[in-house]
Amino acid sequence: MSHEDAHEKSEIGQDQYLLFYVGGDVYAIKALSTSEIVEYTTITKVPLMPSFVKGVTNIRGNIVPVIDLRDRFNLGQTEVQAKTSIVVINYKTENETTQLGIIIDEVYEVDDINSDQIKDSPAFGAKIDKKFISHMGKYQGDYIAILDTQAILNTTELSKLVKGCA
Amino acid sequence: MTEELRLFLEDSDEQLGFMEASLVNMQEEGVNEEDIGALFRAMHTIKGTAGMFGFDDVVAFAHIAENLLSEVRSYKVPLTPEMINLFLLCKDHTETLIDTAVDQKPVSDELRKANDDLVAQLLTFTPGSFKAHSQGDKDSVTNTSRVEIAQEKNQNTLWHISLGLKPDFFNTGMDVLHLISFLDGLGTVTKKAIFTENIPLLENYNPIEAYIGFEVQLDTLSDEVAIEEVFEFVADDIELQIFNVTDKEELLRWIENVENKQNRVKFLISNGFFDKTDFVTVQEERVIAPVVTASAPTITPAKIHEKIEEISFGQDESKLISKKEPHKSFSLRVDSSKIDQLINQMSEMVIANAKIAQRADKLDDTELSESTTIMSEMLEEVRSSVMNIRMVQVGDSFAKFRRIVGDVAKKLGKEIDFIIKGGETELDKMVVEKISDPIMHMLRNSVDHGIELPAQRRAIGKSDSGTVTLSAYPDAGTIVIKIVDDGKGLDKEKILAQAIANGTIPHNQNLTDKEIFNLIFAAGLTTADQVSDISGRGVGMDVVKRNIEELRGTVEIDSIKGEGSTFTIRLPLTLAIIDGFLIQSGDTKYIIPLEMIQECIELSPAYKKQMKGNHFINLRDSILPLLDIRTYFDESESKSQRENVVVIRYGEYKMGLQVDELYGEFQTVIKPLGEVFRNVPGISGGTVLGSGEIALIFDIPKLMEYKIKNS
Repeated sequence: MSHEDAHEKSEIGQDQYLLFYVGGDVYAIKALSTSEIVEYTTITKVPLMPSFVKGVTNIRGNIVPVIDLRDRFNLGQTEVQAKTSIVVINYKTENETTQLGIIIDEVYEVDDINSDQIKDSPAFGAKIDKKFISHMGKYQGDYIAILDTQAILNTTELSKLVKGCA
Repeated sequence: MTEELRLFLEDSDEQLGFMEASLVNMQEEGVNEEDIGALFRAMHTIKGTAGMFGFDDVVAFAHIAENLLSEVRSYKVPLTPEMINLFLLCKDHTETLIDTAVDQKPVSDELRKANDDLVAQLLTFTPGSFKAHSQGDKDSVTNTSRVEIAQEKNQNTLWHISLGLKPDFFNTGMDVLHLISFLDGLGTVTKKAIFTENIPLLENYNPIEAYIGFEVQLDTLSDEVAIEEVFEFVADDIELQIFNVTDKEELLRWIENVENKQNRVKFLISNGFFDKTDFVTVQEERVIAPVVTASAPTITPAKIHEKIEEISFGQDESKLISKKEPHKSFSLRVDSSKIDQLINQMSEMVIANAKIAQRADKLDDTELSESTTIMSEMLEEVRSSVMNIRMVQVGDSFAKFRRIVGDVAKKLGKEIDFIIKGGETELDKMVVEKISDPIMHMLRNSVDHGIELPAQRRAIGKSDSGTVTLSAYPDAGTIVIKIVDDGKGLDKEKILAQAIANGTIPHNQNLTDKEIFNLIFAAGLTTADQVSDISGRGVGMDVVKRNIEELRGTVEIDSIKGEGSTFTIRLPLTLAIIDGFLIQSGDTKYIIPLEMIQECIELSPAYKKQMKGNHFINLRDSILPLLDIRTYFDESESKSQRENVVVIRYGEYKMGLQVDELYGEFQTVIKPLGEVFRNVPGISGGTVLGSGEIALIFDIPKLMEYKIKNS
């Protein structure tokens, strides 16, 4: 574990993370990048979109696109259950910040992870595409993937149509 | 740029617009009082506001122009066509001066020369100024104006100006020093003093309130009205008194109404404005005079005194009112984001109310249902009023095209009758602003490429002058703007050859006329033989089309060779709220703009049998092409037992949309779907339904285009 000390301590101290379940595993995202967590509600399907773009939903009068995170990780579609939630994330594009929702199975915890407990993501071996992982964080003895929301919600990838039309 | 400066620019733009509109109108319809008045007011306002910012060059120039205009207005000088042209140049020049001043650039020699030339020309028309100005011309702008001011009257007057700042004066954002120093421009300030008696003790002092006043004695040739104008823009936030120093009656009338009269009198005397005797003698005279005429001699002097105050006050007020009337503002300037916010809030209310209505339905509560009905009617009224704030008549912005058309025609040696129709048609202000450039471009094109030279026209039996018509009218929930010319029309062969030559299309594909005409919207295509500075570079029409599409509008071309061309722009009425019709196809609910719907029919087995696998039906002996939304969006077969067809019309096209369910009308607040869905064709936005669910809004023109292309 000598690597642990080698990790850049660019951010001193702790950051708060939102930890949640998707497809049986725990993932984390920086709490600061989220704006709220809502119960799963009706989602309107938008045609011609890739399957992980579930559609749009109404968050306080705004229309917000919703991404099925499990499907985005290519681990099959989320089955909606009582604890299924939508995490609303602030996504930064070039000129503005928009909101996007991701579907998760269940919220696990909101907690601090010490910056000295955070390491670079492994080159291989992860269950999900490594481009989605920004770092690995050690939480209560286990390493969990800290997700790169900018990569997951990359507008260019999300907006690709399934089939060319018109 | 500061907020004030931005407002100034906005305002002067508007005023310059008024000027041009009235000038051009008089050019065409003849001289009339109303336009002269508008012209004068606009020039006057510019002078005033420019003065506030200390733009001396603008003020000086505007002043000279205004002088002549004031002569015109009082019928001392007739307004000749020559002068109208001169004033048009003056308007342009004022614009340049303002831009230069706002950019804080120095006045170039060229500009100064232009300035002097115009001033000289203006002065040749202004009576009583010939001699003095042969010399004045060479002076700098400001000097010229000083000379000019000196010409107005032959006698100087000594005015007393009392300027008190009302507590909230600072809210105006005006710098009081500018006002005072502006007086310097009118004449010589002989005495001045700051009245500070009203400043309270520190504990009562509020730093954002104004407490001081100014007493100024001004030696000038200008009259009372001219001095008053200096303060025009803060008139509501100051106590202003202007009177001739020798006018003791006025002095007394004023001092009687001043708060803390004793202090003020002492102040005025100690600063040498007036003599003690000025107050005493006049006051006594005034008190005595009414007694003589009073019918009831028993009135005590004190009562008389009250009465006098009443009378004088009443007079002052009526005087004030009558003076203010001519400066009545045309409109209220409101930041458009405030209206947007209001519309957004309205939208939320509409949604909330729809939710209540739904709940009432569910509970079977008739009373509540009735209330929501009343509520929704009221909301609808408020909504349309709010929307109406944004609506402006297109005529105002159309008027400026007259000049452009005239200028271009003159340059090219063409004769054009430019006709504007339907100027009273109302359209969203933002749409009007954004459509202005494309229209201008198309008009230039029409004049440049469309209309032939008079000789050519005569040769083919047309009248010498060509006609270009710009018209606007509402049609099926859209606004149509048409540009029609009776020129030579578009040359299909030439467009086609050009398009093939520069690779816009590979080869002749048996295109229809419309498709060929549409090629001129492709980038880099021009059919003009010669590139002029007006048009022919082949940039522009693609921009025109893009601008129009950004407004969710469309543009179409019709043209007959030798007879002329018609450009038809079709625009949505508003950008924010539409009346929609809610339908469902597959799992998704959609909104179709209601105005585009002609009827809804059930796709009965009989119809289906008729179709025989074709994508059209026979609707009352006309063929109606059908677009199946599910197939279009690549979705599974219909699960609905009852298929429906919504017949829509857009422009001259009709089409049926095959959908599953029809729900009915719905007030639709258009909201953007965002970047993620930018590639989905045929969807222009989304809306939140009363249930909180989201429905997608069809982009009918896009669907129509798809159907036309693929059949």
